Amino acid sequence: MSKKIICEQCGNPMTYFQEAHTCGWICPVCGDGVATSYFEPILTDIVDYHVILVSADKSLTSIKTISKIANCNFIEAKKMIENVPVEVFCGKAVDVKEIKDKLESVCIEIRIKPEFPY
Amino acid sequence: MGSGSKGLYSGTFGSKATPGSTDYMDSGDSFSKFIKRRKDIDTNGFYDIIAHGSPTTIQIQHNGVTIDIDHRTAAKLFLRDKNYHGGAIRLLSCSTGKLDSGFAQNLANKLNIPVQAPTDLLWAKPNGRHYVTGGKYVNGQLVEDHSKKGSMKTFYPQRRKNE
Repeated sequence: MSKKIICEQCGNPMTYFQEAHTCGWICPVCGDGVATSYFEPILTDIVDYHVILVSADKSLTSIKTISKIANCNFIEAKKMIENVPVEVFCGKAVDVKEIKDKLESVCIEIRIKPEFPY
Repeated sequence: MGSGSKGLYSGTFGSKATPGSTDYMDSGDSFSKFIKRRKDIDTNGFYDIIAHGSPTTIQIQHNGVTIDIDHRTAAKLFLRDKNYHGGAIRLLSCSTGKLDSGFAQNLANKLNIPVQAPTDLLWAKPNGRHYVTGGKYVNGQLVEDHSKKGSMKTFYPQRRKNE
């Protein structure tokens, strides 16, 4: 069910608007309203997400990918694969999304904590 | 305090100038139009920066293109702003003060000045009144969430741990 926002000034229902990175509500009758910034929720998500490596083969592609993400050398990356589950990255949603896509593209299984909604 | 202007990087002309502030938004932006009508200009000597913001970045107009910048680029930009003569800055940019070590704190450290910023979304009314409060999406539409009260928080420059 949609929520009606009522104008504080005249009591009429307000209209939602979104233009580029501004959104808000405006009263079509009296012109009162309110505006704020609009960003994709992922850009304003301040939760630190933990990327846990669950399983990966020991191919060079996997080792290289994990090495880059965990910012470690190939030997350490290989050890991570052998010692799963292990955390390979912790950061904000935007970065985690990029990493998630990268790992999944090379069939590396991961788990993200807390639940990753993107 | 000198007259305000559009930002150095802004490609938009015709925006109403506001004393003691620089506006990095598009002149047709509703938030920009509303916030420029605010009465509390130069509060306690804070220079106002108007831009869309997030906890870690602000957004500016550059040659008609919208770009996101971090505190380092923002610091360089502000220092090149002819209307800004140093001193404390107030960010009229949503959520830039949401994190303890987010955009506002990093900018304060970088410029070595106090920076005031909203801890959540900044909402502006057509009469210029503005306030900080949370937001939530209802059916894809952002509405005010008064259970998450915010405020304008001042961040002071902090020394690095190894200094």
